[in-house]
Amino acid sequence: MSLASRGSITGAWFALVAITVASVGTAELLGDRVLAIAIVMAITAAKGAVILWRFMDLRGAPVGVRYYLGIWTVGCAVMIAAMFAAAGQ
Amino acid sequence: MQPADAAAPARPHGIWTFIALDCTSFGLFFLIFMVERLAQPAVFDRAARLLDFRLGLINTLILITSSWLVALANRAGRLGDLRSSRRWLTGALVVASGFAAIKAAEYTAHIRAGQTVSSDPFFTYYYALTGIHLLHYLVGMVVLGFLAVRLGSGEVARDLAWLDGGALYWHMVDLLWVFLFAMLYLVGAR
Repeated sequence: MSLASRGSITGAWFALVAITVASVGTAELLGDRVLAIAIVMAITAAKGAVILWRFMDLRGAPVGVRYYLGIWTVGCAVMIAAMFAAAGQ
Repeated sequence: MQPADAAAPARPHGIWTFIALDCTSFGLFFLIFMVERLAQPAVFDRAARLLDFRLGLINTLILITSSWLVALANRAGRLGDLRSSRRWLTGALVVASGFAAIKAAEYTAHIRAGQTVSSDPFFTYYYALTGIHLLHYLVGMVVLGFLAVRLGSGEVARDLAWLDGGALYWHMVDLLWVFLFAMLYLVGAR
């Protein structure tokens, strides 16, 4: 196993800041509510993936945990987006 | 100059199991919140609009930045540079302390406005979810503070194991908040 470089950790931080601001902009500015919610939750899943792989270095986790946390991240985002859409408000 | 791709000690499986279980608990909390919201979406959305997304955004940026500093601290520690590690950890603690200050101000403003645990179902879940997360945050702050003081003063291998575990825990606190921010502050208020 090897350590992530300092540049890749800092790059991940820049990416997280940028996509966090993008998610707020999407929530505030996009007219179509369902589309906005889908985009916000997709961005949230992407942020989760960056935290898991770049900060937590998920490569070092047991294979089962690696798959589980990947599924958890996408699963939570899809569940929240789908249930917001299903409520139909 | 430190090597960019240096070898790192293997991590114990226990901390990953804990993280997977804690994430599962929060996943269930998210599901319960969403199921409750299905029954009365208008009530939940009206209350969600009372949250100030700017405070949620600042707290997200605070946790992301503290997580970055902790990742740098962990990397420095695993490379044997304990002095830099302590410096990054101290920076993380300073930045992260802003989260509690903003959360306290937010809770105070809501309670003064009559938005309490019992005022409506959204705020019941808001206080429960953010309160449980805040407890995780406080535990993380204690661990990071302990590490910042202790690192290098005892057995190095044991300290580094604690540093790695503490760093993973702190990133999990960040990960959980990213979902809470989206679910409570962004999509609900749309």
